[in-house]
Amino acid sequence: MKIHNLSALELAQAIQSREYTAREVVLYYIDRIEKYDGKIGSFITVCKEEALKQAEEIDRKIQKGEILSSLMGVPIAVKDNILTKGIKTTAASKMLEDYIPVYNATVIDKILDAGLIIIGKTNMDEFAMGASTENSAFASCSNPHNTDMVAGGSSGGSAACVSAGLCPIALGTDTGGSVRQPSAYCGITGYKPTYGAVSRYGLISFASSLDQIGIMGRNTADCEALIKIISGKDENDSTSAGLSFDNQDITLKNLRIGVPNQFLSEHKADCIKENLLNSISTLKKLGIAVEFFDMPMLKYTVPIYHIISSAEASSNLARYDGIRYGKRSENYDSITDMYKKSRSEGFGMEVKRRIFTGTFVLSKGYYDKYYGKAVIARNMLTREFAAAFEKYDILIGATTPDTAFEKGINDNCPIEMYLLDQFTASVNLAGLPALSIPTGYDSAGLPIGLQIIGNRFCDSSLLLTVKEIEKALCKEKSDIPARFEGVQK
Amino acid sequence: MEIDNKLINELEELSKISLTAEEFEEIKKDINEIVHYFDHLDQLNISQNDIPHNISNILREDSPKNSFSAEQILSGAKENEDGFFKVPEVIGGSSDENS
Repeated sequence: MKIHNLSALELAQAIQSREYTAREVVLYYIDRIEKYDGKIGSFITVCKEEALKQAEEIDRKIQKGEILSSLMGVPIAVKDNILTKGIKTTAASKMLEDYIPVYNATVIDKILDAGLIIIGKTNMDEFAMGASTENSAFASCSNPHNTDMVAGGSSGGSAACVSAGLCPIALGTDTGGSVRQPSAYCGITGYKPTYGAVSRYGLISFASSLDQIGIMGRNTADCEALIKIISGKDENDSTSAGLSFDNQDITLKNLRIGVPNQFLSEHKADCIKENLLNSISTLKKLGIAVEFFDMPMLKYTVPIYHIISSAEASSNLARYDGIRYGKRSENYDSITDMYKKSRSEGFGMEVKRRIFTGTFVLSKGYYDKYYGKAVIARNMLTREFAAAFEKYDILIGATTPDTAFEKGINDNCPIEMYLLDQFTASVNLAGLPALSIPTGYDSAGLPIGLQIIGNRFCDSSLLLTVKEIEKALCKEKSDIPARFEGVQK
Repeated sequence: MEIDNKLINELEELSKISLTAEEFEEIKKDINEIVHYFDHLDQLNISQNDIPHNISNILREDSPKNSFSAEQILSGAKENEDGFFKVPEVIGGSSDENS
């Protein structure tokens, strides 16, 4: 068994029982990153020196018998829109290409206190706007299962590095599907917690009413172990709230599962529908009640999501003025000219598109028709979910309408790109927790994900349930594609 | 509705972003498609009942706390002088159309 075949919990166990030192593990993963990441592009920054220093400190503590958490000693990759003190944090934008934060996000303080080791900052779509990681200002990210294909996005780097075994677990962020969609494309487990479960303090804002930090790993148990560490109320984020966890055994027998018909009818690829129907039939064989039902508001998901997220983005990104931090243009002749040139040179095309869309839907004369209506429609959608959870414990459907697509193919089709969020963004609009788990492959060997949605703040029972479902539908741990396996197992 | 050059010019002004000629055409085309797609929401019947209510703010006590040093705050700025952010002349600058 090689180190990269272990789950995060197994690896932590091996480090804490002194089978490996944390330093050995960091060196092992750094070596794999140096060997393979040139083909993938999952990291923007690799923190070799900092990680080794941290690992030595962890090893000293373990020597003394001091155990900080169930994941102590495990290397973790962090999406590059989460602030890390003293470590460059770019949001994959030219606007922040040399930005070094003076403080840690709350989630970073929490993982460091728990003894996890930050190994690098991962590639993403600029400011988390995109579904392919092709919008990174630095380099696009490839899918480890086929490097001609996208890794998905916006947390594509976090998904790809876990998928290729370059890091056992990663943090991503999910505003409309940015943890779950790349996890599905890369064949790993992605978990977006209930809105507010993880503090957003120190997360570079995209759409504040939707943004949520999430976890990407090889299985659900790893995600569960990490959410226990990173969730909680934070006085620096007034929208944060604690989660409670219990460890009761869940039996699938009495589980009631709902499948919105709209999740079944909107697929682009037959393999997605087949895979979903196979999963449903496996669950039924276990004696679980699975029912199809209607959620008519789901068909409005993408317009509601894009109006609200673009509006919030246009407001949040107004802070990049070239004065306090971030890019300042070299040539300008007045303060207004400085704002305009700094922003025009610093932002990429997709970010500009969203700022223009958001500015439009909020502007005088159009506000009621677009933003005002979307806010009301969001409320209607949220109520449909609430009604569904009176009848069902969990909802399931495919995570994505298709498997990973070829790089460049959607370059001139923003609407096509936005439609990739159609099964995931509704979950953000309603603030719900959801996971994507790998349930198979298409005929070309590209992974397919199943999305499992829980009720608000029911993360604990959702995770316990998904751990059981995973036993029926998935391998124990997601596969690392053969070309990244190294010599032999 | 049709998004025309005039509207894109207004959005450039509001968002403080100047588009190149090429970007201008691309954004105009895309925003037209996107806004057309948003018009799907016109099919919705909305009643007063659907307007979100019961929303309240969560506020903290307004009490003094330790913050960052001026040096830390200025560390990200491209230009600073004597502990201040440095910007081009704001008032009285002859070349600033908005002054």
